[in-house]
Amino acid sequence: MAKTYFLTLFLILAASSAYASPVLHIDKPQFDFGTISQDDKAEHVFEIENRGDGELIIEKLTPS
Amino acid sequence: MASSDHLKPGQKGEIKVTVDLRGKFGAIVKTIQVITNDPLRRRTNLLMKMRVKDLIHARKYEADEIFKAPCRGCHVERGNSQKKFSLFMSDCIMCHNEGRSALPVSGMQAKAREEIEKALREGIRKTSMPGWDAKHGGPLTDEEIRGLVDYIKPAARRSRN
Ligand code: HEC
Ligand code: HEC
Repeated sequence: MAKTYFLTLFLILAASSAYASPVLHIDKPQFDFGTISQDDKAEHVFEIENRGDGELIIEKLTPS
Repeated sequence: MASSDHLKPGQKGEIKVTVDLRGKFGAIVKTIQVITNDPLRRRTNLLMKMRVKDLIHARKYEADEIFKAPCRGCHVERGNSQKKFSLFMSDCIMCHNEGRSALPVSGMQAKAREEIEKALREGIRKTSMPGWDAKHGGPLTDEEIRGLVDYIKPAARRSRN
């Protein structure tokens, strides 16, 4: 009896981890530098967050 | 660019972007596509906007400096021997256009012809609008001035309102 109980728990855990999924959240995905001079450095840091329950993997960043 | 490419649940991270502005000019929009394993949204776009001024234009100037070297090469000489519409397109459009510092032609038409001519001849103090006629140190002849006023607001329009 105790054995079956343990097994079910294990199965539930396995199932839930299969469904765990990452959620990429970016508060401010847009940024306006305003007017800047050609010799300025246009540098910006976007804050990102994983609001899901699985590991988030950034696979690729492609600039246009 | 990214602080780490693996984020645990609840973890925060950063994506740092540097845009190289050398040789860039005017309004620029940059997008960066972020591809992740987020099952509901694999692609997310980051967007950056800016207006880039070249080195000449980054500084503040007196209005009539555009009549002098090295500015006049672009701001005056391109209009040499042009008239009316083409003179406007050479000397005025860089400021008098949508998204620029001054009204486009359609907006200026709300003013009286006398007002338009006065502003054009004498300039408007405390703005980047210089006086364009010779008496105010400008490069335009009386005939060119009248041609521009006629282009901006044809005389016939006046009798209608
Ligand atoms: C290589 C050509 C060139 C030279 C040289 C040049 N300009 Fe310009 N200027 C332009 C163009 C093209 C624009 C249109 C604005 C734009 O596209 O950002 C402009 C726009 C401007 C504006 C209006 C900006 C606005 O939106 O209201 C000012 C003021 C100005 N120039 C001043 C100067 C002065 C002062 C100098 C000399 C020190 C100078 N320019 C030299 C080409 C030139
Ligand atoms: C360097 C920028 C610049 C250039 C070049 C320029 N203007 Fe202007 N102009 C202005 C600004 C700024 C004002 C004032 C806007 C305001 O009232 O705040 C103005 C005002 C005027 C006005 C008065 C009506 C109004 O819109 O307020 C007229 C008419 C005018 N300009 C005509 C011209 C013509 C014609 C040319 C070309 C020969 C010209 N301008 C070139 C910047 C410029």
